[in-house]
Amino acid sequence: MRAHMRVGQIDVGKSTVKVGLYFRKSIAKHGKSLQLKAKHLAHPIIRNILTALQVDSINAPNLCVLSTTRRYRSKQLCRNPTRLKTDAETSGYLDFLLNPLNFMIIKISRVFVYFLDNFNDSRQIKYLEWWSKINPHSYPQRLWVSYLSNHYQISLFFFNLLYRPIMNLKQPRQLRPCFMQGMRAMIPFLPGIVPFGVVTGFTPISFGFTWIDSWLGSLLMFAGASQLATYQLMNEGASIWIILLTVTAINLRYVLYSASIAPHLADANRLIRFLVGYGLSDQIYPICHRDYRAHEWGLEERIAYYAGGTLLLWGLWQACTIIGAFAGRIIPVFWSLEFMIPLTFLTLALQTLKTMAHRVTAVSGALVSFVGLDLPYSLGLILGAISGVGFGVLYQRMIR
Amino acid sequence: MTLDFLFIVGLAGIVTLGLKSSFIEVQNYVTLPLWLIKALEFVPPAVLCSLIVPGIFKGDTGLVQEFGRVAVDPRPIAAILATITFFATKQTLPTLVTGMISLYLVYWLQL
Repeated sequence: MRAHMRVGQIDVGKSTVKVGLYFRKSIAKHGKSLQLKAKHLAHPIIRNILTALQVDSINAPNLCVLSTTRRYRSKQLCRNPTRLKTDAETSGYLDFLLNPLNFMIIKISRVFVYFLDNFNDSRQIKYLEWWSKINPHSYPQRLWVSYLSNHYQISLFFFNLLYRPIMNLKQPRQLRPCFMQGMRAMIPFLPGIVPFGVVTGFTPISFGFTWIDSWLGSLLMFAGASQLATYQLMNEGASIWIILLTVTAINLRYVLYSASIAPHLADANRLIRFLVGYGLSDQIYPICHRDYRAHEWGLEERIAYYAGGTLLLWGLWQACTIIGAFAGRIIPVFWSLEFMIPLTFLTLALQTLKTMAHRVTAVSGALVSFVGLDLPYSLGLILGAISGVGFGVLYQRMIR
Repeated sequence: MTLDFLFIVGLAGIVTLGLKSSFIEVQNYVTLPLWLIKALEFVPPAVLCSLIVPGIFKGDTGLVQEFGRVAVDPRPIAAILATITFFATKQTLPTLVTGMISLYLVYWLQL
């Protein structure tokens, strides 16, 4: 992930992915060069950086750009604007996104502005302090400098040596509390999950499948409703396309979850991304959506929170399906515990109704879902979800 | 367990995983358009409400399955009472407890 940028010219490294996307466009547009101008540097975020570095005047020919850690990405900048919002002039992140030039700055958000002359140790300390303020649980890992002399690179090396341990001691990563918080947030769902899991494990048995078959669905899919549908259709002898289409229709809402949660977790490595995708569920998504906004967590904390909730749910789900496969319906039917599932969703839905647009969304989604209750393949659900979002957006446009 | 079965469940698992991690993977290569980012704000209320509706109006409760049908389905009433409790207390646990107790009560009153 190295992309660098020198005065008036942008070079794109070999392995550039995100950065390259924009740069390729801009190279086509600007004919291989892009001048940084004073008005670009007047942007609030860049100004913040400059203020943090105690730079008053902008002298473009001396400008140099440092590319820093991979973890610190654009979304953290735009998702948590408060971290950079030092004065009132920085308006919301959507405004920030709207300006195409700012967009470029987001795209190269690993990039920080430095001045070549007077780039001394104290300025680097400033930079590190500023970094630790906006990104408390990480440090600039890889300062990739295209145009610095040996002296500066050496001093940078010592700085990393000196500052990494200190910063880590000052702010140790608090992952365990986040993990536990994720588990605690999941607890209200468990009473509803247990009977559902037991039924999901038991249903294939009643169709004549073995317990391993029953469990395999839980293991491979980890999505209750579509597991039930798969076994039911297999029992009816439906063709594989019908089964896959049904699974797609029932699980289509996960695309919405995925799109919504991606900005918070997409920076993780490949394995974590795979696990996050696998573990995504109706239960973990809303609590993550709620708590990621309520806290200013770094990526590690978010993953820990997600892992706490998902591990609890996943373990219980697997256990319940196996128990259901062996023991049948061990929970008396008349307890009606399955009603806990809509109840927990109800409490979460009520928590989201902050603005009028959200209320419009909720009511219209529920109405459409109610009208489409008898549609096959749970289509009413996804129709309700999509039209609810649509109505919310429409309402917001209208009041503007 | 036959090979056919493994094939079908495996494919269903892959489809599910693909849907679940679609944007988590894509996000690293494609920038979402602005209107979509704005619209995602409304995903939780929309999806949650459309998940609630089948849970309240579709199928039968365990009570009905066990003891027989009654005149009025207790679930919508229980849901309304739970909603009122939530707005009064702003907490999860009382809401759940109220919902379940009112479900039993409303059913029992109609027996």
